[in-house]
Amino acid sequence: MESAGLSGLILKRLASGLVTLFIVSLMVFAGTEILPGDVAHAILGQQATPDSVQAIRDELGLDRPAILRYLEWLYNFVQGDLGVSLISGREITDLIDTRLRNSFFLASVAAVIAIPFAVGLGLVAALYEDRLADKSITIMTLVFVSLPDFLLGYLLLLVGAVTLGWFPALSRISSSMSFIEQLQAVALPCLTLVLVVSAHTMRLTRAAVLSVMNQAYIEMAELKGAGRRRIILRHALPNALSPVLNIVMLTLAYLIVGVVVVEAVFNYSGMGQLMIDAVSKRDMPLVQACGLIFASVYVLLNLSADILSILTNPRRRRPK
Amino acid sequence: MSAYNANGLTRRGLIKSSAALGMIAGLGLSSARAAPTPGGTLVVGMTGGAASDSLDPRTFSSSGHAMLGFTLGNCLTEIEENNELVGELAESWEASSDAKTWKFNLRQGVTFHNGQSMTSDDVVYSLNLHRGEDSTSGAAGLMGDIVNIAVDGPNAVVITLSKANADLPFLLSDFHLLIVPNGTEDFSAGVFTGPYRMEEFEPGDFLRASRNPEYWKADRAHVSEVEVLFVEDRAARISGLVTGELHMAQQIDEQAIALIEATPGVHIESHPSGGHSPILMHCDTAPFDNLDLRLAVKYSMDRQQIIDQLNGGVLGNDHPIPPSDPFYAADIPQRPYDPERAAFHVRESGFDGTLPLSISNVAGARSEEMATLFQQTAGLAGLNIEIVREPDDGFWSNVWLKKPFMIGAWGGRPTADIMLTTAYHSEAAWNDTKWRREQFDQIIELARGETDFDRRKALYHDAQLMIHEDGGAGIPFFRNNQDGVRDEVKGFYPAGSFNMSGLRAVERVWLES
Repeated sequence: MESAGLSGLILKRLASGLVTLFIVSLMVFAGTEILPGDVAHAILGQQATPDSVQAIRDELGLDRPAILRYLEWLYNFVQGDLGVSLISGREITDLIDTRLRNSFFLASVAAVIAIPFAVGLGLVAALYEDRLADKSITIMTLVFVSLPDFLLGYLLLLVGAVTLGWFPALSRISSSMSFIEQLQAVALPCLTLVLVVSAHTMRLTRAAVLSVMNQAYIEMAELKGAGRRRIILRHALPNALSPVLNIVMLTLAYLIVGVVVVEAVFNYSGMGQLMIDAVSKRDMPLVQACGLIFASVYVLLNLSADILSILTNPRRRRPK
Repeated sequence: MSAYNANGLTRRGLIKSSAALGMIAGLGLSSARAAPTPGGTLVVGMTGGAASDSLDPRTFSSSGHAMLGFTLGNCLTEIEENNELVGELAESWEASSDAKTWKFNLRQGVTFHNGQSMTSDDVVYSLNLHRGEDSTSGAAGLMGDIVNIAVDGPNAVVITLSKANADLPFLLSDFHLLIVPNGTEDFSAGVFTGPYRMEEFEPGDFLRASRNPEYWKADRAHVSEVEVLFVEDRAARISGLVTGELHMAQQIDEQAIALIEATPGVHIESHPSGGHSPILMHCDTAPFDNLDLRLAVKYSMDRQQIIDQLNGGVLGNDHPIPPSDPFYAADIPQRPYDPERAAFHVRESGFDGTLPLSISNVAGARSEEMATLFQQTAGLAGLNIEIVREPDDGFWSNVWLKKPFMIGAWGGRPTADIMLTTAYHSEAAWNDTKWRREQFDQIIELARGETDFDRRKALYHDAQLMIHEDGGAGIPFFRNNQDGVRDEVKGFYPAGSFNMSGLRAVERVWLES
């Protein structure tokens, strides 16, 4: 009964995820249509003459109605064909391949560091609420949360690459590099991401744990004579796990889709750069592919957050 | 037949005029004369790349693309130091007396990267890629007057034009017109005749190429490996340059120039170009159909202040030919900033409203600052300007050529003829001042076919004077190309209107160990 409920829920969520993706694809398409200029103008820029614009439009079939072009794209997409880039004519899967892996690599390295670090800091802050440790952690994270990520990136670049010369200013990774070399190459963008997301994650973890601390069973534990550390780790944390997991999943999603600016600062070849290119060139199939990948990441991570929080919190399995 | 050889006889007046302007005063020339050191890996940071890039020369649209092209390939002709045209894959050329039929004699013994010898068939195929009604090439406009390209034996081609054009050899130095093997349809292997061979190309990311041991130029291609990196972020280019990850970086921000100059190990190569940001007025649209109002705008620009504030370049005189051009009309008096005279013209024009000036950073990061400076000085002359920030997206399709008062942008063109024909001829698609004068059209058409330098110069003088006095473009200055270069890079010199040594830096410079 219980597992049927869970798998039913997963199915329901997956179905609504698909609907979400469909809506996203419609919005992305509408968005690229609304933008002024089309792919022909974007390719030619200031060099556009009416003849050459028309030549490109004919070649790409841009004069057909928008709805037709969308349906055609959708028809191919549901068959697993992402299509070809309008501009280069290359397979979208080829274009995305390395860049997606690069973005995942950067995001994973950042996540592996940021999540334990931030959750740990949040726990420490909750443990020493209103004491010196809490105050200093809070101030530090508030500083990082207030700095825009590009500025933080530039500051780290100035110190880490220009002044100290420890890390490269341009983050370039290739398959011929060893893992350690790759880590060194992404050190600065990774550190930037860690600092940016840690602030949010730490604040939310602290708040989640502290809100549980007001519950009656915590008071009970205190009356039993349990120490604060034990109360937080044994009584509060398991109950706060579900919001914390949600936070972690959102952090992961942010790391994957939110690296655009950081990628630009360090000239890192990832999905962010690719999507910027695609939008500025009105390369619809490529924008769609990027948009749907980002949206799928969100949908899947949200789904896993829900599943995990149900698994860790038996009460949520029986909704009222 | 008037013979033209590869030593640039056509441009004989040039060296004198540019020396007089102090343009070549010792800029890297002494090091260019030193013996090059071979070897090393040269890394160049460029802009204008995208994941959709290809090595098909027809698709090139940015200076970064051109850099890729000149890393791997050659054209028929090449622009050298002091704007001098020399033969590249063409050894020499000659024109019929009406300048309509041109014969180009090809260099012999040149091989492509795949080992195949270059012949006239390859040249005909390569040039034809950019012609025809359905050509999507960025060079299609340059090739418009060509009616036929034919082989003349294995080592010569004959190009026939519908209209006389004394500049044809100059046009063939355009970065789109690289010579590829006959029949090439897939350009992904990057087979050309140039200084480096493609090793790895990741579109929008980088090109890695190694020295072509068969390269036919004896004194070029000094380094053993070249990496052309696309670094779109301005700050990333600067930091890469400062940390030594890049040896050269193009288009350094004006704000960062002082900083770079103060950094040890790095310097700026700043050289005049023909690029400019005109204040465009549509001469067929009220109120700019009124000459007095156009003059009011031209007299109310404080050109020197704009240059000083924007780290600009050299003064402009309201026509598009830069002082570095051999046909520059030096005797037209420089139009000064004269608020009283501007106020007089405002009164004469009878205009008393506010003029909306459309700008966007797409037309250069300086547009906004230039507009603000102009707004202030124009205000003093009683001319009210309202700055309208247009969206970057679609600026060229929706604002340019459509809004009657805006700041546009022109890159330098290789010849005076191309500049005047593309932007000021009555029938030009890009006539962005909508200034149409039959007499002017006749002058430039005559000049285009004129092979005598002095007669040609006299014609271009009149053309410049007409635009200066009557045209719809206020041109405050010509910008300098500003590339950041590390001190270990030797042999850099400016060439033509493009930056990075005419975008051919990778085959010209070397690394001092």
